[in-house]
Amino acid sequence: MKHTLKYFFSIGFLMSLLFVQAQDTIPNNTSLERTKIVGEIPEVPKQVKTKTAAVTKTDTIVPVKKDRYGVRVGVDLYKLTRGLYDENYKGIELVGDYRLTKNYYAAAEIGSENKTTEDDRLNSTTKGTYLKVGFDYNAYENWLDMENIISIGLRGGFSTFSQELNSFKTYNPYPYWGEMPWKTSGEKFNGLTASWIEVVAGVKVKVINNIFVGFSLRMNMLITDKKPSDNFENLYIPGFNRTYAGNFGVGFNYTVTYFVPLYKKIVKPKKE
Amino acid sequence: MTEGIVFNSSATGESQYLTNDNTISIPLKTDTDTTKYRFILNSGNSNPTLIDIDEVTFNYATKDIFVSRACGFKTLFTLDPLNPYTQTAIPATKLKWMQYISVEKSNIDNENETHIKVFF
Repeated sequence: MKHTLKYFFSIGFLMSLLFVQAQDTIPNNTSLERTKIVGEIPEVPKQVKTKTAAVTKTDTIVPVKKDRYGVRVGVDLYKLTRGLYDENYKGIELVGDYRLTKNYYAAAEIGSENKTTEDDRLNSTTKGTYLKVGFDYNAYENWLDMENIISIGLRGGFSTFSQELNSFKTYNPYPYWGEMPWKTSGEKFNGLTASWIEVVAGVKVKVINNIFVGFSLRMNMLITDKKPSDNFENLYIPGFNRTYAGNFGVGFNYTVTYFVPLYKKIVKPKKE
Repeated sequence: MTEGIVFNSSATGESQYLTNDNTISIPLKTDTDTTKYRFILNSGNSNPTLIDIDEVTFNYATKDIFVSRACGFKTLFTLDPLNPYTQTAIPATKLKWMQYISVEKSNIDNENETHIKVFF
């Protein structure tokens, strides 16, 4: 996954830079080659030699490459805008990361969600907050002063929430009186908690100055899950999303972040 | 609701509500605490004096149990311990054809065992 992503984006960036390479100057020795006559004394090659020496001289001036270190903070636009078109959902997620080393970033998300889940036979509302803490590993080798990120990371997630059973239908395989109407319940279960592990694959691209746009896909594995009672279960967990059988979940976010540079570090060129 | 419970789905008309079995299964309403049934003996007999109607009202408490996200809830019934049923003959001047109704199990949580026995 990591290598495939890396390869994919490498090709993308390579294509965008091809025309830059096309403008590279080619040493203009073709005219000399053309005037070269067989048997001539090797004075012309000397000239060529000095010329190439001059070219290599300019090439040896390596600009000092510096990596910027700092804090990146932002918001998940997916959760923020979902409230506009989905009346059953209200949520916000703030994201942040801090660059620890060249490739490692400490990352965290904190959020709050209020979601009404409408199933065929159940209707419940989940409210709560969550916190995810972990790290991202940037697998992308940036060229020059680019600061793009293709990362894979891990998070530990924790959520406290409450769940309210709004209404439900009774299962009846022999509906003699027809399908029974929804029963309203209003039973509320407070003080529920859940924790999980997330594997995150993400991309962040610098669009202008210090503003980054990115998205990430998450696969969640539920570790602990405090069930409301014997008579109900957690159908939705804030941060973890919908629960499926087998403690498995998926997530997605689309972030806009602002990078606050704190200090710079000189990048040591790799020995070849 | 006057329509009967279909015991014989292959028959047409009135006779699909008839049964000669010694065991029948009847549903209880999940959204109320009582369900009323009329049990008719010798239904459709040419001699109307042989037709006996008993009306039995079952009194119970319901409890909704969570099954799953897909199924929702199921309902378990507990027959009222003091007054599990009320039985009247129709018309009331006639004798009740069910001579004795015995509650074998008042907790109704499956469809495989006998909960009520009727002697006549």
